Formats: sequence, C-alpha cells, structure tokens
Amino acid sequence: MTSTASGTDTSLRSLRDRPFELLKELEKRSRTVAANSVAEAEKGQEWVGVAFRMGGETFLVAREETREVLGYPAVVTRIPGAKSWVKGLAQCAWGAHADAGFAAIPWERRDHLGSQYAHRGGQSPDIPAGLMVDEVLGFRRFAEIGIQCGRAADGDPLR
Amino acid sequence: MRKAKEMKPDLIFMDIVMPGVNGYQATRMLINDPETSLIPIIMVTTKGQETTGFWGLRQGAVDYLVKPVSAQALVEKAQAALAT
Repeated sequence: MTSTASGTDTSLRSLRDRPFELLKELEKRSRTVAANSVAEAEKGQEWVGVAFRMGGETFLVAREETREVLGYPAVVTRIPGAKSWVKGLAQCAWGAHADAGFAAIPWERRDHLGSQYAHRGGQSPDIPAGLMVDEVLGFRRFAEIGIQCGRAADGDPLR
Repeated sequence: MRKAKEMKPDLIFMDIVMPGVNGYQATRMLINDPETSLIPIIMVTTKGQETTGFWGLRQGAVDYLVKPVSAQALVEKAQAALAT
C-alpha cells in the first residue's frame, strides 16, 4: 500500500488540475516510500524480490538490484557488430542503455514471447543493461527468517 | 491501516501482494472503516492479472492500474480518483 503522505503538507487534491505537479509529487512520495521500504529490508525484517517469468521458468531478483521495470521500448536502435542476443540501445528515464537478451534463450523464441521487459541495472555503472523477460509478476516479500534456497515440493520457487 | 488512519491520505495506491494482509483484504478493511471509507483507492496489478483489477473494484476500489504504469495513466487515474 502506498500512502500519499510523505511528511509534506502538499495536498494531492490541490494538485488535481496541475498534472505535471501532481506527477512530480507522486514520484517524490513514491521515492520516499521506496526508500523507507529499503531501510526496513536492510534492518533484516524482510527480503523483497521482483519475480518474473522467462522461458517457462520463474525467477526472483533482489529489488535493490532492479533499477526499473518498464514495457518494451517503442524505439530500439541496433548496435553494429553486437552479439545477436543484444537487441539494441533504448532510451529510458535514466539514460540510454543496451537491451540485452538472455543468452540461454534463443532470440527466435523470445520474439514471440510476452512483451514485458525487466530492466536490470547495476551490473556495471558504465554499461547499464536491460534484460527482456516474458512477464513481470511483481514484488514478492519474505520474512528474513523464512528464506530458504531451492524449490518448494510443488516445484514453485515462489512459495 | 494504522498509517491510513493517522495520515488520512488523499489517495491510496494499493498493491495486491503485501506482507500480512493482501490488497483485497486491506481495501475491504479501509472501505468498511468510517475513518477511511472516503479515501479513494486505486488497485495496482501486474500484467496478466487484469482480472485482479476487477476484483479490486468489487472490494470498493475506484479504479485500477496495470504495471508497468505509464506516467500518463498514473496522472489520469489519480486526477479522476481525486475528483471523487
């Protein structure tokens, strides 16, 4: 749940007819909530990951390793001489980055998979790379004490 | 719930998957509580779970958003919810 209060007195209702200011205020409050959530997670209370599906498998990546999740970019510029699994360069909120596919999944197959796209940053501050996935399932939260490696008996790693 | 009562926010974006209670339960609790019943709630679902938005509306949410959320959709839905 994202509440709108963030320690400021700005009322969202007062910004209703000013969409840009409303968007800026929503972003500011979202960042505050996210920062507080990370601080809680760092205290060891919970571990939060972003779940996604790719090639029929379900994966989790730590939230702090995920810079952004966005739809597949409308414009992607091919990179001459790049590996076939590198889709190209795209523009996103924090600058141009390489859209890297997942080497284990053939490009021909990924073309007709889902269109969602998980954008992972942090591998290199100089060469941020995105990872194209079939579907982003959202956040999954685990109590620190409850984290176990491996799959559940039914094979679902998210349970 | 406690924060919603303390802060009386203008608007709540409600995720479905949360620790403790899920987004549906939290929405029902807020809608049924006189202190928070007038706060508009927008459910936030992931792609492939569009039906969860429908169920969110059944719990009393005013609208829903599907992640990843575009800035335009976010503002439009927020504006509409704040007008209620």
